[in-house]
Amino acid sequence: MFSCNNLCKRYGRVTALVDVTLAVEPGVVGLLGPNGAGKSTLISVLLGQTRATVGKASVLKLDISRQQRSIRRRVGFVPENDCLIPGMTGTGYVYYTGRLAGMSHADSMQRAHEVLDYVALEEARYRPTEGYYAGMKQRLKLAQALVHDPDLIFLDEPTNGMDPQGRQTMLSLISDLGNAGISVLLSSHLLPDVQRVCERVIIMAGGQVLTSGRIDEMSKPHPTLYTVDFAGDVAALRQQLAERKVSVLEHSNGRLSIELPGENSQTAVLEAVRASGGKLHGLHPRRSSLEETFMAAIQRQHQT
Amino acid sequence: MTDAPANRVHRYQRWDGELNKNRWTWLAMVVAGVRLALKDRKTRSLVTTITMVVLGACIVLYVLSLLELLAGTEQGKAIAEFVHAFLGVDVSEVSRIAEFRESLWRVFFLLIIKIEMFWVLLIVALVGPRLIASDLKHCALPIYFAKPVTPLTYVTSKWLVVAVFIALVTFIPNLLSLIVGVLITGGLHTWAQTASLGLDLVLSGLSVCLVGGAIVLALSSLSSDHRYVAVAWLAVCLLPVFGQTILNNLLPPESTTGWLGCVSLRDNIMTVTDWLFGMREALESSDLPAEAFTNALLKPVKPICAATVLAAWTLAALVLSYRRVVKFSQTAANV
Repeated sequence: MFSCNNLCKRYGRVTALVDVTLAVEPGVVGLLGPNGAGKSTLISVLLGQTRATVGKASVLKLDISRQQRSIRRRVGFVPENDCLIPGMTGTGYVYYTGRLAGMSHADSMQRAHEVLDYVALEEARYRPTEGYYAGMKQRLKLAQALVHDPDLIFLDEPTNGMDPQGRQTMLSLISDLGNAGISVLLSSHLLPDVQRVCERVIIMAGGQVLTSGRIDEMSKPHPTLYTVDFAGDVAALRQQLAERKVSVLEHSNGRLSIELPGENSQTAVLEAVRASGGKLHGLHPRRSSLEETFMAAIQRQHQT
Repeated sequence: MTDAPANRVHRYQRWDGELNKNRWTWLAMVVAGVRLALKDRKTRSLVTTITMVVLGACIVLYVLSLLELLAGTEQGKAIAEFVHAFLGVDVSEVSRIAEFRESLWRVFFLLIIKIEMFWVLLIVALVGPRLIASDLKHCALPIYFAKPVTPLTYVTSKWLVVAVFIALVTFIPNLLSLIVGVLITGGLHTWAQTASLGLDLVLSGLSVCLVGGAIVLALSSLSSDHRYVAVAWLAVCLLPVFGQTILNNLLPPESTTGWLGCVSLRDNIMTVTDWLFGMREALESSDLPAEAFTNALLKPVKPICAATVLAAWTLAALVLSYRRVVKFSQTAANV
């Protein structure tokens, strides 16, 4: 999808990107980071809008310093802000952006209708965009990014300001784009959104890439936190666990969240279950969530 | 209108067409810009009212052609005697009207252009301020610069939008009037006589487009509020005129001759237009009362000075617009 090699960007004294080195394979990738992490600057550099101070990068195997226009012909961008042109209808707006991308009049008009149908704006297509509410504006921006059928789209906070239903719609659209073979770079600070639709994630802070990789690999099994599915006398089990220095963190409907006294001490749980006279249906290590990985990465960066 | 149902199944369809090389992107931007501007009722009304000027010009040209037809005839002599008897004005020279047709038409169109300057002032104040300011206000720039649009294409297209409107109230109606005048007056001879006038009308109109468009574009790139831009445009056009009037009254005429005419944008444009029209030569070579016309119509500024001032304004404005747009394009994703 794109690769960066020692990419740096400075605005005067402020360093927005610090030695960013990445090689991202096609797919749906999340770009996570707090405000000021450098996410938007990275997108701007990859789009060829901002010239990198140092370093090299390529998008879809095109050099960002020499082939900006070619990149923009193959890339779609959904900006964070509204970015609408007042006075235009939904169709007019998407048609216009198609023309800006280099589509002919007929192609642009036909495609505008197609993508507006796709993002579920078919009923509002002839309405002025000023009357659109937040969810419709986000989907309209997605439509303009898709009008020229890009191979890659950059989405900057696409679920901002959307209600839960609109958010679900947007996320399902992003998933479908991934299934259709379009690579997606989803910049967001909403971890559940990224976790739901992305295969991989890049975590940034302070202009640096803190970590990147597959989400399922990042959420490693926790060494001491386990979930127990149990049938029997829970009070007896709790007592047995307490005797073996196993703490019960949560309990609901026969499912207990426990913390073992140390690594490789699962046998203590088995003994406690046997002693309580109940039945063990499952003992699963808890996996660290994306949020925990994210927070750990940020914490590590603060410490260094 | 409710949001799309979350359980709706989306199936993206790829497009197998080809993108062109963006040679005509500017045209798409100009067409969109003109359409958007014409959605404003005030702009539409202003463009429509210019037809009155065209109509008035056609009527005057028709009267002039009638006078040419009547000149030398018994009817014409009777009319001249009638005018002399009742108004005390000697119009016997009118019998030679066809001889100095070109000069007369040049003077006439110069007067028309002076009137049209008022339309230019208003139309630019209506259309120009929104060009970049509106994109800034609505953060629309990322849409342009995430597509293969260069800052140069953006600036050129925006300038062309305002240029189209200036053309609609300057040389397009003038050319229409000229064509109607030629058709009324009759024949190839008139066409040959006034062909250069047509070219001069286009050139003078283009100079207004270039200067006015560039200045309003630069102002539009400085603010995201089009109202401030409109006020700044009116100030740029009108304040020098007021200043000029005050200085003319305060200072002795000898000390202001020459440089004071260079202060006003309108005067500079008119001086260049006079020069393009060859007014001084036209008046001097004709039997028209040259001195009276010269004092009334021509500014005491050297055309080269006026042209230099206008070129400097235009260049500075274009450089400013371009630099601002380049800056915006580089921060488009961060807007």
